[in-house]
Amino acid sequence: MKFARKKDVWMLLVICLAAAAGMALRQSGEGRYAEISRDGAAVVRVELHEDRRFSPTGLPQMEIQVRDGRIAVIRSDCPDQVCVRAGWLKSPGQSAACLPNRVLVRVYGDPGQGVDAVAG
Amino acid sequence: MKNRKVSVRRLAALGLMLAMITVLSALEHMLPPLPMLPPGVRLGLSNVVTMYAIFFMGGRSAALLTVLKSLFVLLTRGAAAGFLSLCGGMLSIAVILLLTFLFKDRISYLVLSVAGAIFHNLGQIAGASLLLGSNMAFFYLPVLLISGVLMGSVTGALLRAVMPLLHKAADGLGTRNR
Repeated sequence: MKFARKKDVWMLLVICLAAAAGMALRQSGEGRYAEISRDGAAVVRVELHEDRRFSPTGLPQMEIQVRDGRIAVIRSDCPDQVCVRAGWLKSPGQSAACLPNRVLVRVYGDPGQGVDAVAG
Repeated sequence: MKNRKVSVRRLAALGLMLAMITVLSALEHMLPPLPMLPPGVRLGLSNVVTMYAIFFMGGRSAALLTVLKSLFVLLTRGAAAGFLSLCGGMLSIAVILLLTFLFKDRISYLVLSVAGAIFHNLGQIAGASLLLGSNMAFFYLPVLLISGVLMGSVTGALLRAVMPLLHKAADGLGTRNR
């Protein structure tokens, strides 16, 4: 078995280009609001144009901050801190997930824009 | 596995493989994650060893190593991370085994490595989507593909580079039985 063939490299390049094109098409810029959900159920909807700092209801162990049209998980009690390390979310579709707390923070743009449907 | 005696030699070799896998996994988890990437997507250094196991020690050994690795993740990083590791790892080796079965020698290591990386990420994201009740897997698809290609290429190249080392670690048990 060969390690790599020329046509394999081409195929992989094409995949990358197609994926990049997909990404470029989808990025609709600024996020309008974010939805924080737990176990798949929406907990709170946060408008991104007003600066805030709060803990979502029923989740005192997490702290969310909104600033300059972006949102981030500032603090969380989870061991891996993946949600905090996700940083500032701005564009629609971007998300930060806290698996131990089963929380998802997701940014949405104007309704009707983008490809994503909202899960149940 | 009916009357199959596992030789001590094989046991030792697998133990060594597992040790390498867990160290690599722990090491790369200490690196900061990139923000654009879905949560939990890493370089996949431990997959170099897992792939060696698939190609040279059989699917069963690889599956065992994957399950044990997920157990290690469970112990060190919690149930959620362990579940994701299991999802990603199993899907990844399933796809590689399937591709190898379908294409035999017509497919290259690079493609297998990339496919493994892509489906490892996909498996993890799918697992996360399941836990969170979200469909975020779809949003991350393009990023998954690109990072899968990049990281798959890196791990594939690494595999090629360290193959003599791994052959030594496998203590002569690494044979292509195709």
